[in-house]
Amino acid sequence: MPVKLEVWGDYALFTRPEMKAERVSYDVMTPSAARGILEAIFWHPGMRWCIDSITVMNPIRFTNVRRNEVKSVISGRNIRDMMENPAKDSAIYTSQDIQQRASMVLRDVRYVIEAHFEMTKNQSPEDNPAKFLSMFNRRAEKGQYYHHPYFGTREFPVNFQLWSGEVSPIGFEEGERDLGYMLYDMDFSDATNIKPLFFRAKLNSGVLDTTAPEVFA
Amino acid sequence: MIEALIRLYEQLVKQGKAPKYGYGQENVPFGLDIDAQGRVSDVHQFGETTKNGKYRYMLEVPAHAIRTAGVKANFLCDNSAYMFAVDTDGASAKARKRFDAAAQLHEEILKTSDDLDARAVANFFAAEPQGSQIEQLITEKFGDTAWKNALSANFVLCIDGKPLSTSSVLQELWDTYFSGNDSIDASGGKKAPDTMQSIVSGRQVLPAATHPNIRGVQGAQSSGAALISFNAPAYLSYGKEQDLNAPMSKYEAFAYTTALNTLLKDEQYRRVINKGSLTILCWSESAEPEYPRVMFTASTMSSDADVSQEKVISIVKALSQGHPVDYEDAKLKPTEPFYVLGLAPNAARLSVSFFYKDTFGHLLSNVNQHYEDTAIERPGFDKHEVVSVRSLLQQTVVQRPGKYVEALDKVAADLMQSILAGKRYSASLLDKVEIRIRAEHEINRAKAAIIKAFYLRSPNSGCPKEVLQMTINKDSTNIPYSMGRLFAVYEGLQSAANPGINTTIRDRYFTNACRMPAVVFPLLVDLGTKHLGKLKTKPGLATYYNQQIADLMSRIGEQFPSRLTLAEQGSFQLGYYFQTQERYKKTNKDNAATDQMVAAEEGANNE
Repeated sequence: MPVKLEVWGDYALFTRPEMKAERVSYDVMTPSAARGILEAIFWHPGMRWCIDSITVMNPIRFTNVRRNEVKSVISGRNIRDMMENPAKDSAIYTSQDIQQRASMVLRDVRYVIEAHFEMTKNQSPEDNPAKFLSMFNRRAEKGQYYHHPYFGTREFPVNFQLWSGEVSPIGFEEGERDLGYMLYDMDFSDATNIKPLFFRAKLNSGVLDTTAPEVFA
Repeated sequence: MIEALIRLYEQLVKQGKAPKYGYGQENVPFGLDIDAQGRVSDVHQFGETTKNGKYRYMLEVPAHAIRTAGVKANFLCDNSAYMFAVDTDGASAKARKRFDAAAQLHEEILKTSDDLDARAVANFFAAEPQGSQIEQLITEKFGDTAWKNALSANFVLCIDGKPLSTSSVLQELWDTYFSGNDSIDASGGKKAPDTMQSIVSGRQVLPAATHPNIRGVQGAQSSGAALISFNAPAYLSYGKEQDLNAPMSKYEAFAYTTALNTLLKDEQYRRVINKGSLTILCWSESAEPEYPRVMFTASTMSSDADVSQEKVISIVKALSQGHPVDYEDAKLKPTEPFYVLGLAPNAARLSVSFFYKDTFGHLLSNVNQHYEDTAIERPGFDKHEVVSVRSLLQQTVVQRPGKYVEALDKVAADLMQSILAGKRYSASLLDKVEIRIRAEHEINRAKAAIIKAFYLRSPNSGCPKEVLQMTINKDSTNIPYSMGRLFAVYEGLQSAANPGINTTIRDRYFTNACRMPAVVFPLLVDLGTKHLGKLKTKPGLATYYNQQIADLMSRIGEQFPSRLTLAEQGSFQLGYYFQTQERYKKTNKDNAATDQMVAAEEGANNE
């Protein structure tokens, strides 16, 4: 059940894990970021998105910006405390907790995500692939989403539309380009030890093929 | 990027420029000779004194641990406290604890070996610390002050004056220990994680919890800064701590940091732009130093380079057209993969400003494009064919005589990127230059070059291509351009009419003529008539100016525009610059250049 979604935006930041404190983006969108975009539009416990390929339509361009980031994360326990005892104040105040960090972000990006989904064991009896597909298509056509999809970080919103062209999308360049190891997705199978998985990312005439990621065991 | 650095490290090790895995360069001024029983028999002093009277001798020794507050011993080579339990406070309890830690470490590494050297070292640490004997030896041999200086300096254990760190048996023992230690190090005392997939090789590795520091980036902490670090909870993901967020084996972490440290130590691979706000590192796949040297000289065109501009330009031209070039000892290939990394210091951290990976030839063709875009007619006294980065940057700040003011970090970083990557010049560069023009009422070569290059790469109908030439375009009917030229003519007329005048129309009206011509130009026309009147004694000159004014006026038309956009102001300024250069040409009649001769003759005929 393949879908094709064209996404574009002014900026994008697919943070490399090794450059996270002072962020540096990957050259192109990661499969997990693509999954996030699709899930923002439509997701259901009975399905699981699989990204097949990402076509890079615009040349890869970087720019450097400084942004304010908050350095703390809120803890679940503090929230519970606050709920039980509203007088208690454990909120994060951004004005006190702010840090200025440099980010190397992508500029003017446009991708076409090709993906399919698989049914999971959580589907209810009345669920079926055709139903999910038409739900996704309907939502995407109307521009509906659960939360606004974004390119890597929430500051960089995604514009999207279904890829309507008869022909396949064409990448921005000819030839091969090796992008090194890239985050494929997180391995959630062990909830106590969630591990990142990496794959060798190669652009073939602007197309990142993610169907057979060599995820090493 | 990390991957490229690791490849570079392996290349550097092959060339003997970087220490092997598990070793590091340390300053070791003293050697302790021991006998088979581990007794100290002699003390050697290595190396030469530096300016401040300290001994300096760089030696490759087993890698030193990063010490913050805890006690961590090193193998074979360490400071006085770890080696013989004496620190600057004398034989204190703290120093004794350190010695004990060292003894424990050596015991662990050496217990399996029955090699003679290994036994000697083991005996040295098994015995009581020999601080007093060593003090006696040093004082006898090198005088009273030597002992005081030696405290807290590094000592290496030797046999017959030969450092044991060079012994192959001990090296082998250390290597096994060091790589076998990976799992201990990775757990960092906490719950041991299992293997994770490495971010650079994709293989399953034991991730290192911390990476070595990077030293030598100007403006960062001198003790070293981290490129990869996670210092606040918001940067962690899924409960992973420290560098487990970017899983990398201990070897990979060692390799990339050592590669960076080696480059940062070597002037040939490193340049600091703008007083340390940006450190640029360059290297080629082959790690030969000639590649970065050519790249630096070519991209910055700084005047302290030992090669002439003409030579650099010819090298750049040849390589960007795909021809190999012989430079010093190396044959430079245009197809060589080349890397450029910009690092910005941020106290204990480093941030990446930019990273480019391309072939050497292609990067140089970007540099060549920069030469062409900034190329502009220059006054006779200016001997440089290409404007240097430094003088381009100086146009963005207030200059005080005898004092060099730094440009903004961002402007400098952006300019370097435009040169190397062939990107557009940043708007902030142009903006800063426009501010300086407004304040100084002057347009020199570098300013005109920036305006021209900016609009060449960011086309704007307000400043069309016909004015973005290397020399004056006398056929252009572009209105702002013609007004700029007209202004220069009026200025020339004024100085001809009132030689040696203090305040000229440029000082008074330049900024407003450029921004709101309709307000200022009628005034200038009026003034011009008066100045022409003063030239009655020189009718030839008066006619010359009259003709020029009439010619330019006819291009501008009846009405002066009320306002000019920023781009049109750029066009105005270029017109002014070129016309002014024309005037100087006329006065420098003895200039040898042919075109200038022609111009000079024309001027003479008109008079």
